Amino acid sequence: MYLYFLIAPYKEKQLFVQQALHAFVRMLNKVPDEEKLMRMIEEKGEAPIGYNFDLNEGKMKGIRINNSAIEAVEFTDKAVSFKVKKN
Amino acid sequence: MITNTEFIHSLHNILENYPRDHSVNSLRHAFVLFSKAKKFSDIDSNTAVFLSITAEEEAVSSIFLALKKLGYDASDKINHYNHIHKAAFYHFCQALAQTFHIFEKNSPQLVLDSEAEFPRLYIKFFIKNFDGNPLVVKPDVPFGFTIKNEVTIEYFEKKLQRYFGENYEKLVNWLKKEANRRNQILYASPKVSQYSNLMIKKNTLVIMKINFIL
Repeated sequence: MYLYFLIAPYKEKQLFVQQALHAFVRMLNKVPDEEKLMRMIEEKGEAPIGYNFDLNEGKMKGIRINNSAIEAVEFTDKAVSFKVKKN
Repeated sequence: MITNTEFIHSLHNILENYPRDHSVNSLRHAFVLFSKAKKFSDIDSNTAVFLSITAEEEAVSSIFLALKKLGYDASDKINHYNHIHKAAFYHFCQALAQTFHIFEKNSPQLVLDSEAEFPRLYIKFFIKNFDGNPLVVKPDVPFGFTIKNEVTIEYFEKKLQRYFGENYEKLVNWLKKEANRRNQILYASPKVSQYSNLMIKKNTLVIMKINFIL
């Protein structure tokens, strides 16, 4: 049920879900279009904001921002939100 | 503090207000079947197991149908009528869950966003900023992140191989047996009768699994 609600209500295709689906299809001995998946992964590299987290330390190590895509940055006590221009 | 059961109950209620389609109907039906299975668990355990397996399959179907509806690549290769595909999904999720263990130190949480047109879940987790102060991280969509160098196509593959061990190479045959569980419960075999304790013990296992899926 969690998975359903994490996937179905979103119109945006999620790379992680796509990767998982390809792995599942391969598990069923079927062959997905790997080149298509690689193209999606490369496109994700062009994301407007990239964060670098060290998950062992639980600490942020860096942020890469393509500022032309940032519409606004909001700071609250415990969070920083980046609003990205929609195409 | 909201409990897991209450959270699932609130999601179940939300589902009732979602626009009806095949995917939503399958998940709603899964709840109906699971509810019936629980009622039967003390009366007829075989019936309870049968209903639980059917509920599990309906829950998996709802995810398959959602993936197809959203147009995910390769979703045409999964079939919600195929019992082997559906039986494989739970085990795939278990293998995949290992990938998310790397987030444990960041206290990941599922949060309900009720401001969207139709309520939906997102994931948030906690991270320390450069000064060591806690920050809440909320990806734009629930899985809207990539983890470089670790989570690749091969990484998933390795997780699956580790999870299934020596059975990985014989996976399809093993999954066929899994998909045949329902028949094993209904019919006698040369070794066990329909009402054997062996089958009844499966009840707990399947109920646990369906709880995971739902």
